[in-house]
Amino acid sequence: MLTNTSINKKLIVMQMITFTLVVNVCLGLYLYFDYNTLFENKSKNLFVVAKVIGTNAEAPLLFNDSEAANDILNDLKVETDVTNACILDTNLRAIGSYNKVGETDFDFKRFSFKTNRVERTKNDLFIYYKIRKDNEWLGTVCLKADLSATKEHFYYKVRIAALTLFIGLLMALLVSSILQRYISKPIVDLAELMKSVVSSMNYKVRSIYRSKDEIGQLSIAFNNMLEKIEKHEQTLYETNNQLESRVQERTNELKLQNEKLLDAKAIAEQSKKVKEQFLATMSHEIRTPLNAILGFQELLKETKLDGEQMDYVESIDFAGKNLLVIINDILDLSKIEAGKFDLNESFFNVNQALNSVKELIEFNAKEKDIELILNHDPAIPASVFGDNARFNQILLNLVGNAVKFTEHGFVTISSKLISAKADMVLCEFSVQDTGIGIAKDKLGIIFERFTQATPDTTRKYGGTGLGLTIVDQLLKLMGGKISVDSIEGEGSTFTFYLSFKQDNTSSTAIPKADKSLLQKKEESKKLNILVAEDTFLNQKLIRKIAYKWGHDLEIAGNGKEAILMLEKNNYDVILMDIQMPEMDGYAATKAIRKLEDKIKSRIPIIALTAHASQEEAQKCLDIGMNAYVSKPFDSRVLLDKIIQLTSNSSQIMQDTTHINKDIEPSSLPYDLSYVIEHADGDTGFIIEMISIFLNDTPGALEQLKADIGEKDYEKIKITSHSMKGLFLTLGVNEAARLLKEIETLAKSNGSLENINSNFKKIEDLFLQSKGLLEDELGKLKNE
Amino acid sequence: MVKRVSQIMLLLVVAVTSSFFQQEKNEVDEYTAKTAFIYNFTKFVEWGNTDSNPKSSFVIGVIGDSPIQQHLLSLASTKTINGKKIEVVRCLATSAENCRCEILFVPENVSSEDFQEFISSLSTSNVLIISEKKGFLTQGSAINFLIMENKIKFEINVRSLTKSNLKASSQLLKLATNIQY
Repeated sequence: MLTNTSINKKLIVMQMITFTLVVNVCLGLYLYFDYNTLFENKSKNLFVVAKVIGTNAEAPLLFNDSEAANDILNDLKVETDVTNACILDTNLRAIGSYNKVGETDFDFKRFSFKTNRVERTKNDLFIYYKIRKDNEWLGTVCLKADLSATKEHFYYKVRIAALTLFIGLLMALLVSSILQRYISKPIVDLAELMKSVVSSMNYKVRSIYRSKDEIGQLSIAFNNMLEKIEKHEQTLYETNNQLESRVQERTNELKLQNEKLLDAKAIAEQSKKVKEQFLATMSHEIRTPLNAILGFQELLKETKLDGEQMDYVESIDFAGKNLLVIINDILDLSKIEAGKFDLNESFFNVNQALNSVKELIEFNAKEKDIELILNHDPAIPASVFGDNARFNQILLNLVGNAVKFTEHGFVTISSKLISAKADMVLCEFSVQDTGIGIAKDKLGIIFERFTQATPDTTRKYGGTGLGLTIVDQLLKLMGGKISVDSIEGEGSTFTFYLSFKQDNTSSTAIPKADKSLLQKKEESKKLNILVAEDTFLNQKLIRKIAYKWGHDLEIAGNGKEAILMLEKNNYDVILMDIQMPEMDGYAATKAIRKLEDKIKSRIPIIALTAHASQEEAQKCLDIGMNAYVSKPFDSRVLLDKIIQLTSNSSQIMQDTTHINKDIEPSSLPYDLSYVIEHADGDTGFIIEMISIFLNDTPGALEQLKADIGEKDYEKIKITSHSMKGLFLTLGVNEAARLLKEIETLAKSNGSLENINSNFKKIEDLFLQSKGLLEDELGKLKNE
Repeated sequence: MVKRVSQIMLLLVVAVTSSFFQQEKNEVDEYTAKTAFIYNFTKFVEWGNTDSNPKSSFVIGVIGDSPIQQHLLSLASTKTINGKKIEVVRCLATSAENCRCEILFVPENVSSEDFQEFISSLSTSNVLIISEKKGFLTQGSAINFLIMENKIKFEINVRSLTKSNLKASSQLLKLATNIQY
């Protein structure tokens, strides 16, 4: 009840309660005893009065004197309380009686008179006194007194007591409210002080209350506490200051370090730039000569060569292409790791992608007599959104590897739809082979760069050990993952998962790009091409290719020359090298785009650069070039680009590969697709190649037969190796495979029997092919 | 009134002693009352040097003959005064020599002269002299009975009491109709 009131109120209330209790008890007791005493005294007094009357009445009684008796009783007038009185003799006859003025007679006789008695009724007091003289009963004095006066007196006392209590309470209130300050004031002061300390946070104030009681102790304790807090505050303040200065120091240090770091960063960036520049330059520097090597090798192949020479050229081709792959791999990997690898996403057809990969590898597979099987899940949507080129690269790598490491058997490419949501499809692709497999303990490391399952692998199969690393990195970029399952000696299965966005709007894929890749020059229009190229080798290579296609070609040594020539003559397209003396490709392009002649300023420009990077390509396009071809270029790609830029949309293209497919090469012992492809429509070239094959092979077979007869392994090896090129060119892959076996056997001085049986098979194959090829030759010549 | 007085007397006598009941009406009542008075007087009068010997008796002397004698005798047979037996003696009016008593009752038939003579001859003090004749109070009597309105009253001579070495209670004095000093 009192819990939330202030201490002074509590104290006052407590004191008041105590006071009231004590005073009430005292007054109560007093009044109780007083009440009793009052009536007792009254009784005693009246009894004494009765006794006096009795004594005085002895004589009147003895002498029967009523007058005297009445006289005596009349003295009772003084006793105002007495209302009635009488003196009775022994016969209970009243010899004297008394009534107070205004009172009526009272009959006492009904009471007992044997003893002295005091009787009290509610309002009256009765006194009976027996009068004795010498042990003789003389009579009785009877008194009746009214107690109302006495009671009134008592009530008066009660009223006085109540008044006293009230006044006492007031005084006690006054006194306690004065006295309580001695206790409550210090407490209230202390509380106020605490409040002010809390609100003002000023810890310098002190409680001034100094006494030896508990409040004094409280005050001292509070002061001690304040002192401690002040000290703490002080320490905190100092610490804060120290901290601040330390923070300042640190900040300065950090600033310095930051500056150093910035410098270091600048240096690092600089060196990174240098590295990139180095890589780009390197790739340029390596690709440029490689481009020349490959190009001239291609040209060399078209000249008349004997078997041995052809073999050497093939070797150059193989080594050069391998080198190109390695360079491309290294560049790719370095780009991926530099985070500069951008995904170029568009809608593409998975089925078509798988097919084109299969087609690309098919040749190699056939060469090794490996069956290449494609199991496409038709449930996979025709058009999905993703990076087609990278997807092809991944598949090419895996399938290429599979073919590479498989001696015989088959390689299966499978696709499978795992799940399809509203706009996402998750697909599983796997490449299974029956190759050499991978040891269990090597499964974990094959995705690491420059790692191959065994050190022998490099020696035996070539490669850099970068292919799988690139695949792994590319898949990570595309949000996919790859796993491998393999049994050594039985084969491997590489499985990767990729999710694509699904094209919900158009269900048909646009296989434009793929088709254009295979487009041929069956276009009537003859183009006038200007090439800006400083390198003599490249000039020659491009000239040859252009002539082969039947286009006119003019060459400018640098950008300046190119502009001058463009101003004089009309050209359909410019092939622009980037790095040139006097004026480079960029500057030349900018200048051309600023020419006044609107037709000439809009001429299509294709960049030819060895800087095979995305930025480079973007830079070229930004400057105003229309397309970009990296060196060493695939002549077909270059041609495709030229046709795209120079032709209008209404071009009917014929696909020679489709024609070839109609021939159903699998039913024939040979396959002319390779020759046809390289002929680029030059029927003469095909005739020439078939003629060479038909003319040269019998001699070569004789030679091999003789070598086998001589059991000269060295010769067998050389002859079989050189023959292999002949058969490969005409797509007699089984024969090429058999020759390779002979070559391998010869190397290891294997059994002559096997070599002989292989030779017989080759002879059979040649005879089978010969008749058919002669027919083909006749057909071609008629055309 | 007489009847009432006699009733009062009767009651008084009954209260004091039952022996009075057989007395004749007129005289009997007067002397019965007077005897009771005399007896009651002893309660309010102090005898200064009375013989404290309990064997000695309280002597009431009567001069000559009086009907009161009978009453006194009957009183003496039933009551004691101050623990002493009551003895009633007859004294001669002429001489007081042989009359040694505590109370001396002087009947109305005693002449004033005789009474004078008797007083003068009374040698011993400590005698309460009670008379019943008007004027006797001034002649030496201490207490004198009167009949007023048919009621027995008495008057007291304090000097006589003091002369006789007696002391009367104030209560008794109050009741006296006349007090002489």
